[in-house]
Amino acid sequence: MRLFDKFKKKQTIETPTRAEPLKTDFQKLKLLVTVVNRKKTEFYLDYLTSLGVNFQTAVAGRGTATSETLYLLGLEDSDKSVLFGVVREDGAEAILQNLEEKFQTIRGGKGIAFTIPLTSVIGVAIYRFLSDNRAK
Amino acid sequence: MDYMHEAIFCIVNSGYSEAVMDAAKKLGARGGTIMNARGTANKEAEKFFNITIQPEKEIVMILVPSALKEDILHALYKQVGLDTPGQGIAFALPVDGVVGLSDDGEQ
Repeated sequence: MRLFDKFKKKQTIETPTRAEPLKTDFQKLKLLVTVVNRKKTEFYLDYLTSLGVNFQTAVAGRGTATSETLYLLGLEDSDKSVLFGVVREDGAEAILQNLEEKFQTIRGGKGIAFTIPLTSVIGVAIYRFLSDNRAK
Repeated sequence: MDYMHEAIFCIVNSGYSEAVMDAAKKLGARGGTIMNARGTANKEAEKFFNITIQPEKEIVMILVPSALKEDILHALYKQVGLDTPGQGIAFALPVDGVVGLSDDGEQ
């Protein structure tokens, strides 16, 4: 019985309350995926860099939305590049809008872009690099 | 938060991306992007079970309206799933802020 009491007492030891999560203006990150013609890879990489996207990687791909007529004429250019980049949540909208403008105005520069919310990132330096946070 | 579009990623053995697109297009997807990739497997386990995993893969990325996602994932599972020669894995990610799609919806 005494043993049990002891055990019971142990169980009720107060666990220290956790510190409140730091209130900061951390912005979430998003993965920006842009699909463009292979020939425009460099252009869009440079353009996105100029918009403050610090990290990008380009992967070669090919499109499948084939046009029968172009295919028969041998004019089809389905080689694509997929650009993955990381952007800050608050800047994503503006970047997408700028991209859309380029999609519509650049000859042969059509493409699609979208963002995927990221849930985690590890490392302060990496976070600051990805979010282009140059403070301090 | 509601997402209008989802990006379906389907990883299949090389040469089966056509099958993926056929399955997806039948259900309303308009186009996709194929990337070549290399898969990795546990070499020791491969030896133990006496099977070989084809390392050459293709990743098919298809942007679809959320309403079509469920049906397409099911079709992919049935037609190029792990039980088929395509040995495909498919998953979908929520996507926001889509730009560059043609007026009537998909890619």
